[in-house]
Amino acid sequence: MKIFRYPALRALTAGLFWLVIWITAAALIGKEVLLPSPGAVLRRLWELLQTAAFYRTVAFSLCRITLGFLAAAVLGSAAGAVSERSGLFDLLFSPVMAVIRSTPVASFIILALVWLNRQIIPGFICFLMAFPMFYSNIRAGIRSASDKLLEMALLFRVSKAKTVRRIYIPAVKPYLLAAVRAALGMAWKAGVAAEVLCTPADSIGKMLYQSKVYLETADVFAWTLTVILISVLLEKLILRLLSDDGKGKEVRGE
Amino acid sequence: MIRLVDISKSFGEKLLFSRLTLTLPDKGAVALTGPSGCGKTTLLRIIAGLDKDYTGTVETEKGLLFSFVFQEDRLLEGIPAIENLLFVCQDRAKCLDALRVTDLEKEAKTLPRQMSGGMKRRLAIARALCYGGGALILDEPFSGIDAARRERIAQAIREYARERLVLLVTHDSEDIRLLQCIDTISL
Ligand SMILES: Nc1ncnc2c1ncn2[C@@H]1O[C@H](COP(=O)(O)OP(=O)(O)O)[C@@H](O)[C@H]1O
Ligand SMILES: [Mg+2]
Repeated sequence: MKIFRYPALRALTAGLFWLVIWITAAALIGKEVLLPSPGAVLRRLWELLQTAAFYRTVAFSLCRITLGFLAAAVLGSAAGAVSERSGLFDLLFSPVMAVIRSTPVASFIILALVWLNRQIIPGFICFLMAFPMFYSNIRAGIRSASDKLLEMALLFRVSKAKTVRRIYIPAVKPYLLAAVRAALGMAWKAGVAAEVLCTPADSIGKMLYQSKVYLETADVFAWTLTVILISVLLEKLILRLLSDDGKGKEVRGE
Repeated sequence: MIRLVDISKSFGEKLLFSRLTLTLPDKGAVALTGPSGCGKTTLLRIIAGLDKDYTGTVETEKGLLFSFVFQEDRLLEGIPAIENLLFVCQDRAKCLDALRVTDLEKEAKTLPRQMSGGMKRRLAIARALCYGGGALILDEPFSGIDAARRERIAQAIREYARERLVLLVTHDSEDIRLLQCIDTISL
């Protein structure tokens, strides 16, 4: 059909279809506890939006998770760069990477509950999720630096600092941005999952957990919707940063 | 004086030269010619110390710095022309001078990725000129550069060759004449 050529219409049609299914199912089941209606969820979300606690909860969750993410970006990139330079470091560090990569998040969360203060566990989990991506993308970026350009810099006796700035950093940049894109959404969702399991004060995860305990299913849906919306916003933000960077590259002068 | 003694070089099974011996003067331009694929670029790399995987000896004056126009430009594509020169030379006046000689003054802020092949070639020459060094190696430097600009650039290179060695790889006898080469080596 012709109208399906418009992306907005396609999305709207698909969205409406499932909304109708949801409404029908909720009406048939008739129990808010099992499946709240879309109306009930939106009403609940609207109520939440009027409370200061909602914003405090979202802000604290975002803060914890962002801190973990930033720590992973800095330390993961640093460790990756050192690994690329030093074979010994690479050798000694590779088991750590293998463990981080292959251990289920849930195991880390449980272990973290034993070892760490519950306030910092979600951040720590985000750190663990994002760290390997930065670690391996930095390495791939460094390896992608052109041998011919590096040889040119060597011949002209260019300093290490300038070589890094003009050859390595431009080579690494797209890999680093790809890591940011891939890691952010994942870290956010894993962070919320960690919050559910260790229920730190002022956290979306704790709200989800409590809503479940008190059988406030509409609240579970409303908070989940919040997590999804923030995911989408983060993704949009990152895309904006990426495209701005692309433009910046063309005009950046001396 | 640069002396190559008994240089042999092969890539895997393929032997490029065996027991090659030659002497290069301290100053003046010397041309190096030969059919494509005969190993001209490889020999330049050996002389400049970029390729160390050979047998025989290369004797150069200690601390001799080479400047090089690579066959494939090797520019930093994402930063402006002038920054490409400042990458190898701190002296901005020298960089501007090199841009003038290569007729790239107006393109100082242009990114190499937005340049034509000939412009890139000129920028690669400008970079080698502003770096200076004690000897200049040119690997097919004039491809894609028109006659008028060639003349202007050749003048600067002749100037360079008064005190220092210039080693030119070319297929064009006109270039050899233009640089007033004192010797031609056929590989
Ligand atoms: N890094 C390399 N590995 C393998 N073969 C090479 C390499 N570099 C050059 N060759 C080979 O050596 C020969 C000479 O190359 P080159 O020195 O570039 O020739 P010229 O500059 O005279 O055209 C070519 O056949 C090329 O394929
Ligand atoms: Mg060649």
